[in-house]
Amino acid sequence: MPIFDQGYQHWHGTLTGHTWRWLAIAHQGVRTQWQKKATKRVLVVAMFPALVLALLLAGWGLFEQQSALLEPFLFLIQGLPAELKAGPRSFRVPIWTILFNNFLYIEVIFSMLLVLIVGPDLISQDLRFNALPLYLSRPVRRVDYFLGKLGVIAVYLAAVTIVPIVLAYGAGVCFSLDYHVLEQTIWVLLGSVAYGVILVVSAGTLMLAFSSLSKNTRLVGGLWLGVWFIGNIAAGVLAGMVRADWCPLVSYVENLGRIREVLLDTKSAWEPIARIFPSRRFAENAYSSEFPWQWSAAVLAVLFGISICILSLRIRSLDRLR
Amino acid sequence: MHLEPTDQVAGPSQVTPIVELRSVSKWYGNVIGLNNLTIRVPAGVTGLLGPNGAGKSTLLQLATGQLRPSQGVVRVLGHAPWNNSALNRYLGLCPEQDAFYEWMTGWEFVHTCARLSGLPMADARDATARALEQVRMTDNMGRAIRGYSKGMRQRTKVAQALVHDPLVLFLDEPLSGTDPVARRELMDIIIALGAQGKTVIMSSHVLHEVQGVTANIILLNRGRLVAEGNIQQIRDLIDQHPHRIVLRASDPRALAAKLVRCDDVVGLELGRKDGSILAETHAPDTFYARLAPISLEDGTAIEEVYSDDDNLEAVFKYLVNP
Amino acid sequence: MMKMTLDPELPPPIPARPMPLSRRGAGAAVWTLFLLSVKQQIRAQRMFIVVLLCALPVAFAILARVYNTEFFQADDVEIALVFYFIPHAIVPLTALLYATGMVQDEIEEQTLTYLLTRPLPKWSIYVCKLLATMLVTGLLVGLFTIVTYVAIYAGSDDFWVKIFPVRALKTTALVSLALVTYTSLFGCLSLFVRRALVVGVAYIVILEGVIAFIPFLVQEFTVMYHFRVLSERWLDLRPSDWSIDLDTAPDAQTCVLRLVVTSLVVTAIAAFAFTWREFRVKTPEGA
Repeated sequence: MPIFDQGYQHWHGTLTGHTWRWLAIAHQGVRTQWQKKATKRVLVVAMFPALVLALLLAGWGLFEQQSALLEPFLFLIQGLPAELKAGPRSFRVPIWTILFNNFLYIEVIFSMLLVLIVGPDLISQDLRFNALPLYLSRPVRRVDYFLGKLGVIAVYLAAVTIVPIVLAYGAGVCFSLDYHVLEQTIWVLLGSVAYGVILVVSAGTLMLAFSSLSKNTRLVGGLWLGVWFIGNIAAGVLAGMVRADWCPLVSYVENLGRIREVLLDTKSAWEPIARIFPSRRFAENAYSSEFPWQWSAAVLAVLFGISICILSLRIRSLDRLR
Repeated sequence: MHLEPTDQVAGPSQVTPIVELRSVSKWYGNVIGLNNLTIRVPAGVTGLLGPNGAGKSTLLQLATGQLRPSQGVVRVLGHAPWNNSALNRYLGLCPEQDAFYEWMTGWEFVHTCARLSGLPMADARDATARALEQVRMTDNMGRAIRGYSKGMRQRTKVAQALVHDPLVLFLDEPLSGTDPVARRELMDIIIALGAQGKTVIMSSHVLHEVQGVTANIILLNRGRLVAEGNIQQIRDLIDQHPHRIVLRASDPRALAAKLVRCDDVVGLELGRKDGSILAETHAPDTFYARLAPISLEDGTAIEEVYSDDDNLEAVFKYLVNP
Repeated sequence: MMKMTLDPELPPPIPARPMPLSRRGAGAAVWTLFLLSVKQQIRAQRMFIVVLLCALPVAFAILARVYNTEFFQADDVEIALVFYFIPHAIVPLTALLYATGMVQDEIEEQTLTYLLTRPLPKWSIYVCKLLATMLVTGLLVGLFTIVTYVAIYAGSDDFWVKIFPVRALKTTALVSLALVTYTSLFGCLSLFVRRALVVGVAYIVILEGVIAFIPFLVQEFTVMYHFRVLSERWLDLRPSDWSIDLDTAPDAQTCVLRLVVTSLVVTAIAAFAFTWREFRVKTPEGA
């Protein structure tokens, strides 16, 4: 009998559970976004800070061991304070904290850029080409769809934050040759990974919400630029005019930075450094931003909540699709 | 296979071509859209046929000046259409894609297209009313296009192609997605346009639609010209493939015994489910002339005769899938 | 596969004299396209976003007056908002969003076919869209610049004496000139580069945001440098971090000329590229 005469044929095999349904969507999304040259280029360039981080951690490990390999670089070390040269291990945690903090500070630029490149297409193109029914007419729940799309952003953001952190941490541990390094610095790793996770969830959800608002990917990109670019400038302008503690809250990147400072405890890390380097620049860095981190957490939480609401309204089940 | 001059009917070579392509090739990177195509389209309605990817839309885009030929010469009304905006005044295109300025009403859209064609304000109003009347969209012209059905959208597209009274109309799959009623109405419009003296080139991959409006076809496959001319004449020329004629008689075997003696009959099939016999012949005219006397003989009264393949589908099948 | 065509050795067809083509109505067609483009820009979702964006300086000015009444310095707020925030952020982003979309949106919506098959010279399609974009964005940004001045100075003695109308209108003209130049640049960029938004952002951040501040020859290739020189010459501003030496900087006429000529040249290049480019509208490019 021809297949079109047979009517609906129920699948008699075993279906996998919902646990990994989102993975198929994520996998396809990652492959699609990988086709873009811009994605590959940004990923390659984003690796340089990671390389520098690994080299610096390795170098610090060699410095702790007073290794002969550092002899060609003695001219760099000679200007360091005596206290540092005498007992580098006691500065291990502050130095690692500052290195990881600065790495993450630089990588936030690449993160924002990656989200701008891979994010706008994710839901807006599905809306444009009416592809949502293709997903939701299968046993795919809205949360599977959302997690799949979030997974795409998560893969690329993790590639420039979490993965380099873990690898660089491993390099630092290997070059330290000290079994105390793990117990002393594990919080730096965990704090950095936690920051990476927060970045993925926050930025990913926000971009998906923007992407669900319009079929025009350029507009979605513009919204993201507004949050990143305009928010930063607006915070600076407001700070100059209003001079209030809450001005940095207007900047999405500043809020992320505040959370990063808390997770890595950069304030505590800068204090011993400021003590041995009494120049003004380091003394300023010893003090973190003046507003409470809870405000930034609240801002990010509110943005997350709004994003979820938008997604919930925009990605409707099949019977309510127009 | 070339036509003998004595066999040549009043074909395109002796009539001023409205659209002419001479050794035209068009490639997109490594993909060949059209391959050394030479055709001359006379006045009247011509069907442009071919499977998906045959090059029909490429040909139409070359003829309407949207694409530049990679090789060869394209002429419409004697002019090269590429970068020749003045020629567009005399051409009308109903594109395949279902795209509109969705926020406009049908009236606004066609009126805007009329004005874009250079019609003065008053003339544009009259022309819009006429065009919408011609496609039977007067009742719905005040509604926004985003609320139109597929058939209404197709009619509106045809209306915008007609509004400036072009000399040559290019219709790219004008009947796709329409219901049978709308399809019939649009086909009647196309036939009427041909009767008014306009040149209409209608592309389709649905054979019976083309057969319903014209007997003159251009058949493309994989960027190459496969056949052009009158359907019947093309069919006659496919001498590799004998005509298949189905006959139903009171005594099919007796009829078959008589037919098998004829020189032009090259095959007979008996034992068909409906009791008919299928005869294959290279000379259908001779065969048909023989049937009446045979039918009058005892025992071989013929109850029904029809050709199994005297249609466009058969031509298409033979030429595209040799 | 059998191919049935005319015998190539048959005599060529009787050459028909090409029918004469009329160019009547081209003006009406161009005007209609201009109006259509204006309507499209006003209707677009992005208009709503850009209005919110342009309203930010107004909101900040009001916030500064309400929150910081005691220390409110209108001159400082004017410099922060009108001479930093608007030209560094609002103007380039508005130009980028609109200019990169003017042709690309027609391609993605697949409506460009309707324009390409009309008796409109192809270069005129691009120029009409560009002019419509400049008009809409110029009016928007200009209006909100004036409203920002009102928000900063309303109620003060300086408002009618020093600010309105001369200073406000001069500043609006300056901002509009910068906007026109950016729109031309980004419009041209969108025809040559696929990821025009990303490249545009990189241009704004690196060239206009960083290089424009470096007192070196290369800063003269930025729009912001000329904007600042004109601000200093016409409005007597002297922000310390602009580092402009008026003795060596070009005069006002030269600045205006450079910006206008740049816009014209870039528009001509873009119109030329648009004329010779093929647009495969059937399948959206990049989809």
